[in-house]
Amino acid sequence: MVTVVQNMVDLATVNVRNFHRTMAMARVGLVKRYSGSLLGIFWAIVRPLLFISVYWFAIQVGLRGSRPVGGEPFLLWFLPGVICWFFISDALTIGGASIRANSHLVTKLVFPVPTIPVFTVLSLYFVHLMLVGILIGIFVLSGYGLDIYFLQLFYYSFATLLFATLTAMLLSAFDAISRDVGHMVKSIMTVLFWLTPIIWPVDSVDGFVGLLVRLNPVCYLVQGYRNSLVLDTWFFSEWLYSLYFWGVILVLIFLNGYVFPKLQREFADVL
Amino acid sequence: MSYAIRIKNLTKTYKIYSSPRERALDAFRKKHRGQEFSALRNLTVDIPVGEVVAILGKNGSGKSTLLKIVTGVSSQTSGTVDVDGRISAMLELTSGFDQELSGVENIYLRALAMGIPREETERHRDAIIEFADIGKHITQPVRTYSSGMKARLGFAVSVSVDPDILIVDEVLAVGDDSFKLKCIDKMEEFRRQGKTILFVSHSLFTVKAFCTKGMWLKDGELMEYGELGPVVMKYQDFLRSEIAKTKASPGKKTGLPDTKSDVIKVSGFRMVDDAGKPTTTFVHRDDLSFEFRYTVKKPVDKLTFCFTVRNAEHMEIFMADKQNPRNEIASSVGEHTLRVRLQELNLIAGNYELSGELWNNASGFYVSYSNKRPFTIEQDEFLGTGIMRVDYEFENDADQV
Repeated sequence: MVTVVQNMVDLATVNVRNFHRTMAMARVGLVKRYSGSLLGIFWAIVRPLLFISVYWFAIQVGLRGSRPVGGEPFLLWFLPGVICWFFISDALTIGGASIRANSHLVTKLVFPVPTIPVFTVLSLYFVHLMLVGILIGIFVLSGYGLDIYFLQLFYYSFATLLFATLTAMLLSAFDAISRDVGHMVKSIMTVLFWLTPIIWPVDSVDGFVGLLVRLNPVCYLVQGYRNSLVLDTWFFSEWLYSLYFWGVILVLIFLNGYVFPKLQREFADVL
Repeated sequence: MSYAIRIKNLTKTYKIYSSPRERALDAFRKKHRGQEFSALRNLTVDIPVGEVVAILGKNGSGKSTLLKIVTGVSSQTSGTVDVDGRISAMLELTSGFDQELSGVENIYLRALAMGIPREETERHRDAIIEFADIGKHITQPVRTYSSGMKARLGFAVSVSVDPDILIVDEVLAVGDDSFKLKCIDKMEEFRRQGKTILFVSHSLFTVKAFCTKGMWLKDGELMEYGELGPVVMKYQDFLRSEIAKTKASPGKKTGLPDTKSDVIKVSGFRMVDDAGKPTTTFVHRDDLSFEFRYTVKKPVDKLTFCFTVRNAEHMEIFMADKQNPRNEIASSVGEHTLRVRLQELNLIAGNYELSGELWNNASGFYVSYSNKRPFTIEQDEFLGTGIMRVDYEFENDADQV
């Protein structure tokens, strides 16, 4: 127990001490991903926008199922949740494979390994922030406007970053040892997309199933983005749910402290 | 005496698992399973500041593992490693380069990965570009580079950090000679500045040129450590005996494929001196003779014999003409002995290699009878260095009185 706490502190210290390097690596990661293409960073925006348009088309036009949700236009209701989801999905698939993808940093250079998933997720977070900027622009331009609840976005996007980073860290450690984890994450993502209330409102299920759906921490975050922009609900008005979410974060921190250092010793030998 | 690196009872055991799942589970078990493989066994070495230490050993003897533990990339199973000073490790020159980014951008990327602040890289930027010396390619994406160019860039970044201890793991193999010289010059400069260098290279030539101490590892154990000369000599002796062992072991005739052995069987090879006694040591300017026994099992219409003399670095010195009718040998079914006399060898004292082939041009097959058999030339009188003796005469408008 003591060692786990010590490990947790160590992991945090490594990340704090190398913060500048992590930020620089995150920036380089962004440049790397989109260099060599003419449109560059533009692609980071185009892909999710295209995705959103297709979903919107399928639901609005195809299924004719897009009644305004709770009085809000479907698209405006849909956007905040799906943008939050895009980040989480990318962070878990790309961040979860980050140590394997950066194996040269582990085996050929002296590099603080625990920062690898962190800088990978951070570079995705930059893109996410850009999308959030566009999202806010859409809300303003559509005449829907922003109110005081919008400030919660800072809280929720920080919570999302924390959740994504911790999960990616845990996954990346396992993925370095066994490739199965990477495949597993990719397969689970599709399932998770449909099980999380992203294109359907969370209120449409209640009772036991509703509880199960809400136990998924991604649900808390997706709902949170909506709370801030369309549902106008304060996070502390759902204080029990918020408490639950931070409980999950604590468990993730603990798990990282327990698992990461143990597996890290093996990295250089298996990669 | 102050030490740069002190290694005490260092042991590294790799565990071999039947599946990745086993490995993952084992990380959490109190009692470990998995087969153990010792890469380093109880190694104790102190390396004083300012020495250039050559680490010698065959592939898989633990050299790279040692370097990885000293640099901190890999962790030891037991023992301690104390390092005093900033390390720059060149375990691989080109790792960490991004194919799409330009050379300049990759300088920053690699420096960043090595933990060098951007401002410091900024300062060294021009020096790095100048050292890499790859011209206008520096602005092009690295994917357009040749492996030699990548190595140049990687080396240039690695040496820019001004380390106290430089660790170089067999990275000079790529790159042309002028680059190698440049690298060695740079390391020479480090040595003069009193920096400590650990150097792995299979080129004994390079090692002899610039290292001060030698460390010979065999199967993870330290065989010798000390002044370079004696260590290299013992290591070379060992290499020779290894080669002899492979030659001697029956059923392991090098370079003799099965299908060809149905046609021709090589049953003996030896080098002999003038008196006909087997030896592999010859005196400068003497004749070198070798005997070669072979058995033709199935009729072949024409056999040609061809031999090559190489120096210790496998550089070709002379190869007999394969097409020359003069080199045809008996090809009737049965056992034959061929004696070849290389007359008045003008080779300078040193180690050389002799290899040869049997050719049948019609069917295009060949049998190499010996893969680089070593021999040594000795010389009483020192006449100069190089490969071949050149006889000369001086005609001087001498001031004869």
